[in-house]
Amino acid sequence: MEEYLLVTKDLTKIYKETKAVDGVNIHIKKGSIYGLIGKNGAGKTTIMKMIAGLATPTSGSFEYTGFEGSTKEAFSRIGALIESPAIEPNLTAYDNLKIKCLAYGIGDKQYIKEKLELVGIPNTGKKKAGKFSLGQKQRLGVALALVGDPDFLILDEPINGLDPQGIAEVREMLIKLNAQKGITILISSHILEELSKLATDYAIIDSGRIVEESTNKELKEKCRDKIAIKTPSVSAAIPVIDSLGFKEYSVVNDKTIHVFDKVTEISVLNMELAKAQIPVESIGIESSDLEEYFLKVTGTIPGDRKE
Amino acid sequence: MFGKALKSELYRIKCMKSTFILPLVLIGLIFLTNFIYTGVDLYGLLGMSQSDLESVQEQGTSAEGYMDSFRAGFEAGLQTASDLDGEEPQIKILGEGPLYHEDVATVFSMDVGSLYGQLLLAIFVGIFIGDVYSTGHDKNLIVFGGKRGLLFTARILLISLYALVLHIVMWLTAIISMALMGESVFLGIDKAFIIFFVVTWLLSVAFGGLVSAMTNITRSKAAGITLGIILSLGALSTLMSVASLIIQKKLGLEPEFNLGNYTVTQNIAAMTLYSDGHFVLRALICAIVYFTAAYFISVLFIKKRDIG
Repeated sequence: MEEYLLVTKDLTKIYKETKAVDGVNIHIKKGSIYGLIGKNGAGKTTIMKMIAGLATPTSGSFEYTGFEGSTKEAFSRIGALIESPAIEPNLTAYDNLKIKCLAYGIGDKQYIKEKLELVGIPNTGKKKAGKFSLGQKQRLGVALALVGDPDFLILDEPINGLDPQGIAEVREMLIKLNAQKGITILISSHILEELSKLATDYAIIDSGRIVEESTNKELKEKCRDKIAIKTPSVSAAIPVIDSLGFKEYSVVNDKTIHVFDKVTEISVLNMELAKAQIPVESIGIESSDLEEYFLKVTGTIPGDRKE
Repeated sequence: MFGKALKSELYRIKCMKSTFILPLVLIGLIFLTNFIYTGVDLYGLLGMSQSDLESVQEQGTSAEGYMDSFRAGFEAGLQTASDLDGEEPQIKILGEGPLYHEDVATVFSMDVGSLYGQLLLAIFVGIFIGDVYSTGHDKNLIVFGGKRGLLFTARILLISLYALVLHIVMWLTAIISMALMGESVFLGIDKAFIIFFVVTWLLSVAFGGLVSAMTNITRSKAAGITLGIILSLGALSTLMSVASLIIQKKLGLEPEFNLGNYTVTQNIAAMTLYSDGHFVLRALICAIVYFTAAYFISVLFIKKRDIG
């Protein structure tokens, strides 16, 4: 049985009359990198704020099952970068980190230097954080989140404003933290391709509700190339598919079959279906990346929206 | 946990430029005020002679009597000017001011009554607490997730200490002022001075609490600072007088009743070394009540509201 670090139960947040988060149930496994995917205003940040103790849920609950002690105690093991980095603009990167270090009982100068090196801003010296580039601010935000060596990192759009090299560096850093230190990471990003290089689990959120929660493997399965057959005679088509030696296929609904293996043999399949006098409305190879898949399931583009 | 919060917030204060600039401004303002009261011959400017001054001084030898002294001095000056029958009076600016002969304690009490300390404390509190909201500082302190009241307690404690620092700065400036411009440096530390020092400091703490409560409620440093400036400039005193009159009429209270007596800033402004026990007790109760109310309102808002 997999060990969960965080489980939410019908987590809901209502601002006046707007339901920002509506009965969300997510299950974050210990040691995973959990990607939260959703459009602007979908409720990602609100979920993150609630589980970081920065916002109170209107109803529902969350439990840090992976930590010993109460949820309040678990807060000491969490690092977060939510929305924009909380930086004192008139202070240097060092002073910004020192303020947080002191609050966490860390007084070691070397510790601060290590964190700055880790996020790639070791030499900002006396430059005030307010004068940092967007990328530098973002890196400082990540460094702040890492103070206290958390076991669980909550990162809301951490690669916003970073150049391609910066994105790659942050990705490498997060993979390293996850692999070497076993830090569980909850991350949201608009750059889904980038997220797909990191995340081991996903939740797709739309209008405050979780549309789908799946593992990276499951999602890749859904996104991989497949032969999509639309026919009114699904039951008649299946023996034909079997007879041709196709092993991985699924009946999506009473008119659609998806065949995942031997996709290059589409012409053979088409011919055999015709020979068996099975009416085929359409047959073709479908493929989608994470972005397309996300757009489909959230109904942003017409497709097989899932409920 | 509380110790860590204190250390962290203290470091934040140390990093704020205003922490050091505001006391320097206070020194400048107090020094200028003391120069006017000790080094400028105000009576001479009004045309008073030494004998006029002595007779006037009989009416008020304490800080309490200065207004009467000035009034009498002004009248005496008018009289002297009319006696000159058109001769040009000799105007002497520098000389012995009304506080020239006083001790440091008296000068300090005048300085406290100027409310410059409150004005600058309001700016400090507005910036210190307001920065928490403008930068989203508390988002970094998830460790205080369930103990945000503790974090505010550390902040209000440091505000109290800063108010004490400003009080001490004022006292030291009064000493230097008297050394440079007064007749002598007699500290005048007695029971009355200690009571005055402690009670006015506690009133300052309550004032800081009110400014921080306003900043916490509105999440705006401008709102907190504006409230502090309004209170320290006495901008509400007219309103307070009108409200006092209405309450007098409605409740049939005695004409001595004044709402201002129950406010923090008017207690600071009116308190002297010679204030009676009744006044001191009322000031002390005001300090405690206002501080307690401001503290709990702040904590209530901080705990109830989401961060960021």
